[in-house]
Amino acid sequence: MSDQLAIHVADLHKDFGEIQAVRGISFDVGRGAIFSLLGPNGAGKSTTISMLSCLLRPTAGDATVMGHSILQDPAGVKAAIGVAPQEVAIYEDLTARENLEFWGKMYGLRGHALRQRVDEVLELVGLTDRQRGRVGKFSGGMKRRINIAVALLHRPAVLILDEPTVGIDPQSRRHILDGVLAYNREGTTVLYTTHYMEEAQELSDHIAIMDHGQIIALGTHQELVQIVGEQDRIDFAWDAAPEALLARWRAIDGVHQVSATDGAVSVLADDSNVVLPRLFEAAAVAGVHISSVSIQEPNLETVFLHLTGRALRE
Amino acid sequence: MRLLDVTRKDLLQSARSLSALIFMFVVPILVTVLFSFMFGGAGGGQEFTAPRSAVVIFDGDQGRLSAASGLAPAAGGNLDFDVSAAQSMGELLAGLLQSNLFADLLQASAVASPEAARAAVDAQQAAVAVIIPADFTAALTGAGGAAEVEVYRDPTLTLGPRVVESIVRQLVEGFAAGTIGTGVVLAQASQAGIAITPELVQEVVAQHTESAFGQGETAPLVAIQAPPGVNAGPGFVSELLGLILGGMMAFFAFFSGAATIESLLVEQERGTLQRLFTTPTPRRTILAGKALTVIVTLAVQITVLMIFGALVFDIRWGDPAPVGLAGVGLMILAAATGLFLVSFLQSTRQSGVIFGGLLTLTGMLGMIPIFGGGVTASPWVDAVALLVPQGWAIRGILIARGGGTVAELAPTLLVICLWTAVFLGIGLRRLQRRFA
Repeated sequence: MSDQLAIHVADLHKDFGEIQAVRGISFDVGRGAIFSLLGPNGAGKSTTISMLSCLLRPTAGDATVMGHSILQDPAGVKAAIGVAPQEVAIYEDLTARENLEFWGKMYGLRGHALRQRVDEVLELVGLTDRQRGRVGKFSGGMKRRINIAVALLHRPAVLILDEPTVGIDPQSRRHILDGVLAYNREGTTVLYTTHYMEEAQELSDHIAIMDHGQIIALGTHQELVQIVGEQDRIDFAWDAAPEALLARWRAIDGVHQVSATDGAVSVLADDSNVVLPRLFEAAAVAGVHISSVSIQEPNLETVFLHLTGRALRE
Repeated sequence: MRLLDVTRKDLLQSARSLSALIFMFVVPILVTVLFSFMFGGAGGGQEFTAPRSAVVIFDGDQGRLSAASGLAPAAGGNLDFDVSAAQSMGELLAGLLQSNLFADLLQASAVASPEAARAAVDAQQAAVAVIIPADFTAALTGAGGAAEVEVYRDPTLTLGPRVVESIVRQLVEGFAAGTIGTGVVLAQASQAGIAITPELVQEVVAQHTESAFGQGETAPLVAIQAPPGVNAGPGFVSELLGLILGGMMAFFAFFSGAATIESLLVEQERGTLQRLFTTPTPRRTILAGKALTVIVTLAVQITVLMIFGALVFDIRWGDPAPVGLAGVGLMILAAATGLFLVSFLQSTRQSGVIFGGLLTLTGMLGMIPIFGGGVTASPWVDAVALLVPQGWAIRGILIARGGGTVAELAPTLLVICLWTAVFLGIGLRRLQRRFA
């Protein structure tokens, strides 16, 4: 195995009774890279993170983090990683500083080194002036930042962030994304899970798209987009699309996929300039009025739609 | 070191939890304070003003002390009963109960038969009937027989009958102590070759009785007032409050133990436990830190309540060694019970039901000896208390408070240790299986 790998995952499985949450995934993350696991809720991202954090024991397969096996050397893995879980996991009745000092101790920091590192991390997440405040009184975004700060305390070689921007304001989200890039510039490997295509696109060197416990696509952003070739994605805003019309659209030459979700219909087509008039024509014949349409260049959302027939946020 | 960090963090959280503090300290103290007001004072120097209990006495004692009993008249004291005039131990007991010595507590009157005495209680005209058997004097003077004073009580009442029971018990024990002393004196006289005559026996009994109940004009009846529980003054209030606070302490210690170890479930639900498990700190250390939190919490709770009781209510908890051991017994059993219960729970929603229902029920059962028991309570009723861990913890406290020695406490502590071992064994095994 290459010393250049921060994470090596080999045929990892996790079953919960009859449910196969993760079904034989494999991927590598180079040292100093940002790697994103992209997929809808329930795709198996958090289960994968839990196995890599030694919280869950895989049903089959193995993985190494900085050369330490999650099965053979969980202590080594834990010393190498910093984990910011999806749900904010800090003590709301303690202050920001008390939280960081406690968690720092759990990572083995003591005395002056601990106090100094807490100061640095508070500065990093922009909460130095709120360090004496009880976390329970913080906004959701501030809690998220403390949640991440905890994971940074011991300068981990690998930072694992599980959906760190869910449910927060744009300002805090921006702060977190900028922070991730900053930690990475300092040499930290980042494993990032999200179901926001834009975040994966902005941050990642490599992206694995997960669905139903499997990796369905893996590569750089450019490599993934090439999967759908030159296809355009045409989105219609629609409260209730008639099924008969969707069937007509699927029959049109150059249309590869038509999928309806709540309030929208997405069409994947070879050339939107050619296909769009035909779509409108079919709608007119069916007596359906179209009020809003947008055409998008191929992106990760398009890739997911192409591979699964479903939108990423379904 | 990290173990202590976990404990320190948990204690800091508890200290900031108003509900935890109220439950640990305020509620037990508040309940005791309420009882103290019911008794008309807050212990330590205030007069007990509880309503007097109506008592009917049947003196069926056929025995007779010698014509010259030798009991010194207590005319110089406050007693309005002429002890020297008592012709039998039964008459002495009945006279003392009807004397002004217990006038603040008892409204005693004599009846003609045991049936009449019991009927008065059945008709709720009296709270207690004291029935002195025919061979009472004979039993006490060593002339034969094993007499038992019957205290027939209204089962719907607790406090009044308990007061009467306590007084009768102390008086009879005082008489019995005289009997033992008499036996020793007579045995020694026999060894010395002195002929044992009925007159000598009566003389010795009279001397013992005098020493117990008639100290002459300078200090009449001082001996009666000394034992806690008999004194009608502030010491008696403190005795009762000590019982109640001891019970409350045990009752709420089990809640505190369970609530503190419940932090495992709270942390699990909030995700902090899982996050702790992703740190290099071993799981064993984290769980041990939480167990230490329970021990420290209970130690603080028990110590604070005992000191508070001693300072504010003038409660005498007993000798340090047995009281300390009883406190440790309570602590480890409450902690183990909490661990045991929490190991069966999946969420804090379940814990509310379990703690509120199960611990309240078992706690109340365990407190039977405090609120419902006594010398005449059914042994079956008292045995029910020992079906639950709280009953054993309270038993330990009662033994220590009652002046029991470490040796007397040892069997109870042994049972407490057994409960603890079983609960710890099951609880730890289940938690390890869940979190390992």
